[in-house]
Amino acid sequence: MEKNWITILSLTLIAIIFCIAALFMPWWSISASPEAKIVLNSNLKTDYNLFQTVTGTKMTTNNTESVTVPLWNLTEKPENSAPLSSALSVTLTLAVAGVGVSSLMMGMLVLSYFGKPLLRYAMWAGFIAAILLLLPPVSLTTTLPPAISKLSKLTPLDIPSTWASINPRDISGFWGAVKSASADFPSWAKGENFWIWGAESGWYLAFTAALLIALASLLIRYATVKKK
Amino acid sequence: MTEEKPSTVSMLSLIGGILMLVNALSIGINGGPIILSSFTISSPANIMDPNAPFWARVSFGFRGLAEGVWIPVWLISAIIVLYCSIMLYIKPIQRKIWGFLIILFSILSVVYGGGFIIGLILGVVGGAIGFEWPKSVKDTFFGKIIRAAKLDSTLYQNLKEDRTALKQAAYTIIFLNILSGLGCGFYSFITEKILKSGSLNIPFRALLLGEMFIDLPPFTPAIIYIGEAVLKWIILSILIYVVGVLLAGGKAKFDKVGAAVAFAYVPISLQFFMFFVLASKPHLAFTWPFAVVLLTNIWVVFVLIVAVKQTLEITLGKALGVVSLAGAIYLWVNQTFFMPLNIPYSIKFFFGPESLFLMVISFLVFLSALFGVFSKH
Repeated sequence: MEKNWITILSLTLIAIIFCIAALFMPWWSISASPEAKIVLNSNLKTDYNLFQTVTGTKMTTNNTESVTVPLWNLTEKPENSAPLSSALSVTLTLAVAGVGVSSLMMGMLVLSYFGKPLLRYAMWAGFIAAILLLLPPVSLTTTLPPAISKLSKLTPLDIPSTWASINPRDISGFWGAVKSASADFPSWAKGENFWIWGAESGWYLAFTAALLIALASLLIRYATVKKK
Repeated sequence: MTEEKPSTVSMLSLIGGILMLVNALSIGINGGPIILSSFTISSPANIMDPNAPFWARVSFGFRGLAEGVWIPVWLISAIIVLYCSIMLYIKPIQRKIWGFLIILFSILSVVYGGGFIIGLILGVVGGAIGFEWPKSVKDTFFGKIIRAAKLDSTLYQNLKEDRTALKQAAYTIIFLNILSGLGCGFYSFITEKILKSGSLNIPFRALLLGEMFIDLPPFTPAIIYIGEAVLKWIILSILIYVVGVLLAGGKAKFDKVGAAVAFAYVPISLQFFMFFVLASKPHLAFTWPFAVVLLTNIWVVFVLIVAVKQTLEITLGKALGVVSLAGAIYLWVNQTFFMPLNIPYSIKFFFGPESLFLMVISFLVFLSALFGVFSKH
């Protein structure tokens, strides 16, 4: 049991670190595609955070420009940012709840090591935490695309005039890409992606944390069944 | 000595699973396959020039299959490897299920970089050794393969006492040549696509973006290589037996010589990883594949010398002589009969010019005489 307990505790701890880190990391981004980065030797990336902020970073060979603005700065009318704002709020609430229940599970695990009969509760807390941590990525995946299309622009930075244009209405799914127009790229890169968008580090970390917590709970379940 | 629980193999596949998870997460954060190159370039024209300097890149993940919406799938796949690795330790009675799943999902990880390749190796080795638990690691199929690669002479002593050695040898030959055939097949398929494409678009996608062209033809060498390898294995075994036992006075039965020779081919399995690395045009079709084939074959020679010395119970000098003479005849047979065979998407290097080839053969024969192969004392 000793080794199992260390494994379960390590998995839970890693999951908690992942989901706390996820809260402060971007969950969605739009950027120049890897092919565009090579061709243009520069990059423009915009990260969307759960705390209703948007960070735009433009990197060229001799300059890096970064700016963070509130979400409503991307709209002409503040009410147009409301759907996205609400999507991000729901995601944040669920993620914080997931962190809370995961921490509770961790506490129960530690107490059970010192003899308190809490292992079964820790297992159920783990399953609930896994669901709570899985819900934010799923929720954002379904709610973000229609919400983001209401914005006036996707990035707080100016897109260079020689680059392909991108409009919030182009965002038809959570993951996606816009191909280059023939004039944007040299002949050998024609038809390749110019802009790509999709999940960012926060989304992946929360998803991984959910899987790790579920794994830890499955191991507790096995340990408790074995004990009986 | 057997462990009470498969902790070593479980740990191997666990580390493999962690690397796969990190690999999948880093592709997610990077927005595409992780590509490490010798220097940054902004156009494929820079590396497709016939006078281009040496440039090489390794790609962890296949573009189009590794990133975007696929990442959650790869994260789940890596978590399954982690789960099975832990369960292999906790519930070793179901080792066959856990071992099989670890191998399956580790192989799948090739698509997203195989946990920086190391994860794939650890996962497959851990899963396969776990599958055979409670056998001690060194007696498992992969344990023997690792021992052969490490030039461990005790392996051949064990093979001499093992009644199933020849059967294992046959499996080894098949397994090694599937790996080598897949590596060579995919490498030459991609190389042909790059070199024969009219525009720079294919080189751009393959070399700079890490795109993998998956099709059925590259699988053919893996199948044909098996037939060719079995023939070569029998020929080399006969040659070693005739030269080593009948001529040089070594002591071994033919089946034991055959088993030892099969394990000598172990280093060619590394040819599987050839297609992860691609180079600039002047080095794509020759330098890199030649380096891989040459190094793996030199390694084969070293393993063969240890195998012959131990199996035939002869001195190191005589083993060198036996390998030289048998190797000289084998090289000639290979150059005359196997090289002209037209196997699609295979990688072959002709030894030329013919005068140089004959000189090398003569030198090897002379070397064998010098090491006393023609004397039974």
